[in-house]
Amino acid sequence: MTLDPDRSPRRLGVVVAGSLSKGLEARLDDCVSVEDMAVGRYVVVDGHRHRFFGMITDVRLSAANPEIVAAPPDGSDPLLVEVLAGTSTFGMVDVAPMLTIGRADLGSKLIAPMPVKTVPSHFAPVAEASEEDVQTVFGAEDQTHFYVGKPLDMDARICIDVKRFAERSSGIFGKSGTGKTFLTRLLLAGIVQKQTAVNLVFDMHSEYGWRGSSEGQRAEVKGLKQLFGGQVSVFTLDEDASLARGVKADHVVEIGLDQISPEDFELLKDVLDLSEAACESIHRLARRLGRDWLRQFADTEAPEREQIAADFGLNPGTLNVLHRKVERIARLPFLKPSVRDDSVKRILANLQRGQHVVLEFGRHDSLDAYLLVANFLTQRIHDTYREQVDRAMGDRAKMPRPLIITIEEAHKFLGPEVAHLTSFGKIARELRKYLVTLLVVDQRPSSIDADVMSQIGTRVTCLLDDERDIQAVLSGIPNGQALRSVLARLDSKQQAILLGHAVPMPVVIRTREYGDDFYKDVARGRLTANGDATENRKQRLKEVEELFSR
Amino acid sequence: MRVGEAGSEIYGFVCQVSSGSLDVGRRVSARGRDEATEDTLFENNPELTSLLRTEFSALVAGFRDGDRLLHRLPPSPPRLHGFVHACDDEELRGFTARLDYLSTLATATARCPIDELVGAALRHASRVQPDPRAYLVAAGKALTTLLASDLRRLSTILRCAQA
Repeated sequence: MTLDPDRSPRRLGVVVAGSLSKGLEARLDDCVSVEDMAVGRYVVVDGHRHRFFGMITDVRLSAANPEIVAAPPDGSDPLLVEVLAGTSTFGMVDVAPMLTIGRADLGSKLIAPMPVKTVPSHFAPVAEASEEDVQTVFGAEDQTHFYVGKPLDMDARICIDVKRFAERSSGIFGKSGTGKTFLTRLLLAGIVQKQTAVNLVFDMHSEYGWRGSSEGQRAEVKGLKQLFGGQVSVFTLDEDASLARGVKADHVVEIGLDQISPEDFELLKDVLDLSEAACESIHRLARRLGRDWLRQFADTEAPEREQIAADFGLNPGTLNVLHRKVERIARLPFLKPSVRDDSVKRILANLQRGQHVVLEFGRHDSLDAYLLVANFLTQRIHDTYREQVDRAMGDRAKMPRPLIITIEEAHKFLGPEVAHLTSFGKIARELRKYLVTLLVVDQRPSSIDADVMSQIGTRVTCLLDDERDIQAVLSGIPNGQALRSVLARLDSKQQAILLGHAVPMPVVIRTREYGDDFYKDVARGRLTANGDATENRKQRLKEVEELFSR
Repeated sequence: MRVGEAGSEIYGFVCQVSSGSLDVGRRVSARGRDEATEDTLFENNPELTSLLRTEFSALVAGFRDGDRLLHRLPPSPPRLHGFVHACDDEELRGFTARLDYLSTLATATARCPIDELVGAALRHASRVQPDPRAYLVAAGKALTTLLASDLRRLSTILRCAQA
C-alpha cells in the first residue's frame, strides 16, 4: 500500500470507466502528478487479452468527496494537503483508445496494430507508451515509411506511410505561420525520396522548388531541386523572377490565350467578382468568336462592344465591366496570343518520366493568376490521366505513375460554390481511381466543400483555433471529438497532428527539423533508392532473359 | 505492547488506562489533606501502593505466526497470566512497516476516542521509521480510503500524529 517497489516507472494509473465511443477514464496513481500529464501523449493499457494503444485527450481534477470541494483544507496543515493529493483529490485522464497492439507478454507482438473494437476491463493498468510501443505502431523507416517527426516528450520516430499518403487526397491545414509550408516541403521530400508518386506542385510563393525562406534565424532552406537534383524539374511562369533568385528554370510556362476555354475563365468568378450574367456572356461570346474569344474580346473597343451587346441582346454595361476584367487577365505576361510549345505536354512528359515538377509563379502570385493556371493545367493533366488509365486497364505495366497535385489556398478551388466547377473538385471526389490525388494546403479547412473534405484521406494539421476549422478537420475521424482539445492546444510552431489514412492512428508530432541533418538523410536515402533501382533493373533484365530463353 | 511466547506473540495498542482500588467493592477516597506534597502522602502511607492498582486495555492489532507478521485478529486470545511487554523500537518498526494495522485500529469500537488512538499510534510508529514524514503521508493516504474521505476525522488524526 505504501511504497511499491514493483511499480513500473511508466505506470500512470488504472482504467476506472469509459466506453469505446467516448473514450476511457483512468484514475492517476497517488504518486503521479497531474501536472506531468499532457494531452496528446501516448499510453498503453494492458487489458487481459489485448494491449491497447491510446492517446491522452483530457486531464481533469476530481474529488472523491464533494465536501472537500466545498470546504477545501486550508494551507496550515501541509501534511493534510499532501495526504489528500492522490487519494481524496486525484487526477483523471481521458484516454482515447486507438489500436490494439497484441500483448507483449503473450508473444503476439507480431500482430499488426488493429483498430480498437472494444475497451479494456476495469482496473487495467495504464502506462506511458515506450519508444518500442510507438515503433510497433508507426513502423520503422523503410521503403514506404518516411520519418516526419517525434511524438511529444518522447524520443521515438514517427513515420508516415507515404505510399498510403499518395493513395488518397491529403490535406495540410493550419493557421498562417504555423509551419504548413515546412510540413508540405517535408512531405513532398518524403514522396520524392521514397518514389511512391510523382508530384506536381503549384508553388504560389516560390517556396518548394529552389530555396525557401524560413521564419527562424536561418534565412534560407533548401528546396526540392537542391535536395534531389535531376529528379525534380522547376518550371516557371516568371523567368525573370526565377533568374533573379538564381534559379535556372527547366522550362518557362506560357499559355496561349486561345487555349483558355470559357470554363477556365468562369472559375475566376469569385476572384473577379463576375455576375451570373457576365458568366453567361462569356459562353455566348466564346460560341460566337471561337477559340480565340479571349484575345478578340480583350482587343475590342467600346463601339464594337456595343455592337456585340446589341447582337446578343446583352446589357452593354455588363459587357463593359466584363471587358475590364477580361483585359486584366489577358494582360498577365505569361499569357501569349498563341504558343508553339505546349506546356501541358512538357509537364506530362516530365511526370511520366518520374520527374517531379514544381511550377513557380514568381511575381504572378496573385490569386487570379494562380487559380487560372493551376486549374488550366490540372484540367488537361486530369484528362490525359483518365485516358491513359482507361487505356492501361488491360495492361498494368502501362499504368501511369500515381500523381499528387499540390495546391495552396485550396479553399479557393474547393469552396462549395466552385468545387463542382474545377477539376480539383473532380479529382478530390473521384480521381483516386485515375491515380491522381491532391495535396491541399490551406488555412481555412472550413471553407472547403464538405464533400471534398470527406474524401481527404490523410490530414496533417497544425494549430487551428477557429471552431469551424477544427470541426471541419475532425469530421469523419473516429473519436474525432476527443482530439478537439489536443488540436486546439498544439504549439504554434513545429507541432502538428497527423490523422487518417497514412497513419494507423492520430498522432501529435514535433515536426522533424528541416535542416542539415535532414539534407544528409535525404542524400543518403537517395543513394539507397537509386541502389534499389539498379537492383530492380537487374531483376527485370533477368526475368526478360528467362522469358526468352524458353 | 506484546504478549505471548516467541513465535506466537500477539501485538496490540494500549487504548485505555485506569487506576483504582484493588478491592473492587471499595472506592478510593480522598486523602492527604494535611500533607504538603503528593510524594509525602505516599511516604507517610506506604500501604497505599499495595491497595491501589493500575489497569490498561489494549486493542489487539495482529500476531505473529512463525516468521509471518499478520495484521488481523489472532485465532485465540492471549493466555491468561501471559506476560505483557512493551515493544521496543525494533519490534514497533517491524509491526508498523505495513499499514494494514490501521484498518483494525480505525474501525475498532473501543471505549476510547479512536481518532486519538490512531493518531497516537501513528506518532509512535512514525518516530521509529527511517523517514517519518513519508511514513505519515503514506499512512494518511491509507486512512483517507479507510475513512471514506471523512476530512474532519482525518485532520484530527493527523494533528495528533504530528503533535
